[in-house]
This record gives sequence, C-alpha cells and structure tokens, in this order.
Amino acid sequence: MASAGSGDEKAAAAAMITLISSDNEKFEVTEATATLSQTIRHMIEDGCTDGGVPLPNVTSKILARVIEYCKKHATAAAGEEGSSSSFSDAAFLEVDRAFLEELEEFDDAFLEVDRATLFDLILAANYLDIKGLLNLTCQKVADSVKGKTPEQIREMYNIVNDLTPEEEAEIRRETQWAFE
Amino acid sequence: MDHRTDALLDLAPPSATRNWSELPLDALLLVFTRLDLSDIPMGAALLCQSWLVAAKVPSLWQCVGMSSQELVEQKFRYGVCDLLCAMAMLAVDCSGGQLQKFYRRRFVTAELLNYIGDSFFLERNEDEFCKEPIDVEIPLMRQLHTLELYDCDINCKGLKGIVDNCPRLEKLHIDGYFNDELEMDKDLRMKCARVKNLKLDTWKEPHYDYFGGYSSEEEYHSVDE
Repeated sequence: MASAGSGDEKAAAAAMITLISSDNEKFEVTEATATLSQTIRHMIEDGCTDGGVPLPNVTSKILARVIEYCKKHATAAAGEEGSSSSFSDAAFLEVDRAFLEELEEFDDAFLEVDRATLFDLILAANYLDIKGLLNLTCQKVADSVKGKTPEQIREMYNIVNDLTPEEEAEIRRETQWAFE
Repeated sequence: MDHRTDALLDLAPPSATRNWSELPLDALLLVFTRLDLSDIPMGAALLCQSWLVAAKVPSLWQCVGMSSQELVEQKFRYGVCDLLCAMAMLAVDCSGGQLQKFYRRRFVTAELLNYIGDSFFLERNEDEFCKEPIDVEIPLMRQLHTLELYDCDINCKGLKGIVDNCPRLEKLHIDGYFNDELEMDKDLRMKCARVKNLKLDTWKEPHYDYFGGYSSEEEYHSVDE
C-alpha cells in the first residue's frame, strides 16, 4: 500500500543501491545514503545504477567506512528535515544542537585512523565526490602539518623529496625570511 | 551491514604505506587552504614536486590572510614587519594576479601596497595617479574588492589614494590612526560613500553611518564640527 500513493520522494527514500567494491564485495545502501556522493548521485540521475555500482578504486574496507560516514550524515540530514514540523522552535534548536554535537563526536571518532587509512579515505572521498568527508579528512591532514618543518612532514607522511637541490634553493631563497 | 561495518573498523593495516605525494591536487588544495600562510612556504611547499605544484596554484592565494599571526610574531621577534611584508609579497606573487581579497594587520607599508598593485596587469596611468606626497601611495588596483588594514597610519591623502585607485572596492575596513577626518573634503566623502561596506574605526566622534552612504548636507556639516 505504500507504493501506490506515496509519491516519488518516499519511493526514492526506500530505494536501495548496491555498491560494489574493488574486491567485489557488495554493499546495499539506501539512496539517501548513497547520494551523499555526488558521483553516485549523477549515476542515479543518469539511470546507470541497475545491477550495482562498481567502484574499482575503493576497497571493501574503505567503502565500509565511507558508507558508515554517509549513513550517519544522511540520517543527520533527514533528521533535520523531519523534525522541524513537530517541535517548537526552542525545542527544535535544542534537538539541533544535540544532533550537531553528536555528529561532531562521530566525526572525531571517525578520524581515529592510521595514516594509510586516512589517505585511502581522502582518495575515496575525492573519487566519490563526498564534500563533507573530503573536508573532514583534509582538515585532519592540515592539522597534522601545521607548524611542522618539511623534514618532519616528510617523515610523518613518508614523502620522498624529489625536488632538485636547485629548486629547493630557489624556494628557500624566495622565502628566506621563513628560515631565519 | 552494521555488524560488518563495526567488524571492519579495526582492520586497518597499520604498516601499509601510501605515497602522499600522489594525493590528488584538489585534496592537496583543500589541505593548503586550511593551513596558515606561513605554513605553506615554510613546510608544505618544500616537500616534493606535487606539493610544490599545489602550493603555487594561484587560486590558493586569492584570499590572503593569516590567522595565527601572533604565533609567527613569537617565532620571529626581529623584523616581524619585514617578515610579514615578505610573506604578503610572496602571496601576491603566487596569486598570479588573482588577488581579490587582502587582509593584513599592522605591517602595511606603502612599499607593500605598491607591490600588490605592481603585480597586477594594471592600466596604470601616471598622469591620473595622485602625485602629491601621500602617506600610502597606492597604484591602480582594478580587481581588488576587499581591503582591510589594521593598525595602519593613514591620512586623508592615503584614503583618497585607496578609493581613487581601487574602483571595484566593495569593502574597505581601516582600523588604525586616522586623525584627519576634519580634513576630508566633500569629494572624498562622496568617494568613500561609494564603497558599499566601509568602516573607519578610528572615527570616534561623531558616529557616522558610512554603510548607508550620504543623505544630506546637514550630516556632512555635523561631522565637521
């Protein structure tokens, strides 16, 4: 009975999308969760999600984490819309605040990962075009880099210095004030 | 699903390494926009080719600001002013002529403002340029729409130079020592009124609403008194 008069929106909310990781694991997610990814949203709009969405760049381990993020944030988005009518403004604000705090805690906990995972999450967020997740993960990198010397950052992130001595000298000359 | 998600949380291989120099440019730029101006040339840009390329992307430098200036000042007790000027000049270089916003505090010199102006493809016409000795002689900056100067000594001529030479200016905030309000002529006042969002914080008395522009001669006279 839900299908007949429920309208497109409800039908869309109930629709499930199958995401397939690079190692061929299948993940069933709601469309609301999946469309946090702009990449997948476009695929849905173009009607090319039948039979599952293969994501050859994302491993099952990372995809599971990405989905965990999207689920939480999709719920948050849905909750904000749904609760607005049934609460007074004050109560709504209160709920809103609690919600945001919870979301923030979730994000903090979500970022408790090793650097390799963080790197993979950034690549996945970039590939899937999930703005919130990309911002979150890049902020983590920025925070870890702040105030560090190039040597410290290289060590931290395993980066090989491929600058020629000439290039390095040039940057240092241009920015000499920073090293005095 | 929840079950399997939970189970996977702890499975990250701790020893696996990733090549961080292969971070996509978009992501690198996001990282860089979250750094302080000082962190980029001092650290991030010197890592490797790809990070250096990202550090030189002009859009990164469109909005030049520096949040932790105090930190930098602690690090560099000497020549702070020179240091900050140098950083700003670097930012101007890197912005590739795309500088649209400029926020600085306590170190703005005529030299710096000139430098900013020189770095744009200016239609600079010396004849139109105000040649009178002014405190802050600035060149024509057609693109600049936001200028915020903090703790900045400025007089009428300096102010005039700014409003004359930045025709696109939408937001001008000056906080510092502006003691010349009595000297302002009507022409200058009208020019200031064209700036949509103007704040000259040092004008203590009387309060003058520059956001709404000018409405009458009476108001104009009341300032003079």
